[in-house]
Amino acid sequence: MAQREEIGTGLLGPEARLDLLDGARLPTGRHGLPREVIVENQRARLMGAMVEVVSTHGFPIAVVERIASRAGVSRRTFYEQFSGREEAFHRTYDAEAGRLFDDAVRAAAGARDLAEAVGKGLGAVLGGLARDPAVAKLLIVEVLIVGPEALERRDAHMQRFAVLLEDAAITFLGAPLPRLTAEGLVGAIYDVIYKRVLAGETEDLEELRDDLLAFCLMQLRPSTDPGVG
Amino acid sequence: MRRAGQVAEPDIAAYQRVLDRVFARSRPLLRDAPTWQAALFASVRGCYAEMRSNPEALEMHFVTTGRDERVQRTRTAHRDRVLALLGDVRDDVPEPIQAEMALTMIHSTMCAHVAADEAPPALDDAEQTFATLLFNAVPDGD
Repeated sequence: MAQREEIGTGLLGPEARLDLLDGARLPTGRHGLPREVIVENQRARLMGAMVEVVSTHGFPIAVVERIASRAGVSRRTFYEQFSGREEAFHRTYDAEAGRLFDDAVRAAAGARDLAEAVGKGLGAVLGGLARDPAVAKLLIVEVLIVGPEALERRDAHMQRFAVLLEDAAITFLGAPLPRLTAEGLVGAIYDVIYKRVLAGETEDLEELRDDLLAFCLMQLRPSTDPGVG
Repeated sequence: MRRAGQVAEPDIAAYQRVLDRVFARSRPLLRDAPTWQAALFASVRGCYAEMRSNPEALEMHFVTTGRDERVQRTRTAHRDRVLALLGDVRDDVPEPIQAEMALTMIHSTMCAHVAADEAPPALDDAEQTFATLLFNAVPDGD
């Protein structure tokens, strides 16, 4: 399983995240570590704790005390990093959703046709969520109950995926998609994923890839390539 | 527009009652259509007609659902029971994921229309969307 270890942005992957939270801590007292290293480590721990606490207990119960405790830092340290739990959630959401988007872009780079581009992008998203059910719960389900700003961020990230689809259509089909097609597809895929995450079937998400790809291609191709699909 | 976490329990209950009416009328629509695509067309048309006559339910179904976890959960459960009913009353159903994707795509596209336009689409326009998504892009069942 691929691990991510970009501690500065809080992106760790499930095992490394738990290692960070439950493993050896930075030395205390006079250790000579630069201040920025300590701050980055604390931030990564807090964002990792946000993922763990929200996915286990739900956002309403993810109070600052609980998040700080899970991160192994004080409430004061929490408030040195974030203005409150909403901001901590937003930062964590942006980091994880951004990581998923970047993974999709990287996976689709160099694709030779629409099927390969969409298939690899879908595979990266489904695989990323399947490998980290805690992050999937935060991104797909819990974001709905945090508040308006979280929803705006969710909408913005979904729009980025829609633009990605639109760009792929222009690149490989040579024409823009009909209005709202990409938004509709991204929303539909979100709905299908939501149901599985809610049902505790996150780890099976990758099994949907081929069916979702086939459906996407049928929706993407007819208007610009009537003879296909 | 409602904000996250602001939907009151009575509003959820009222929305559920509308969905229950939609579901109660779905059986003959799903059963008597010539194909499974036509069955879903009749079902979503009936659903949208019901929603248009209940503006509060329409907003819940196409706007609030993306902003409130309980509404999303309620709508997802309704979609699942419609899909289960489709499988119960027809012999020509496709792979479950195909019918599910067809319904989610229709719903998601309608959400985008409702969000982008000043008023919810007229029934005629909505029918065109349903037909395009169901008959132009979904493969025949086995």
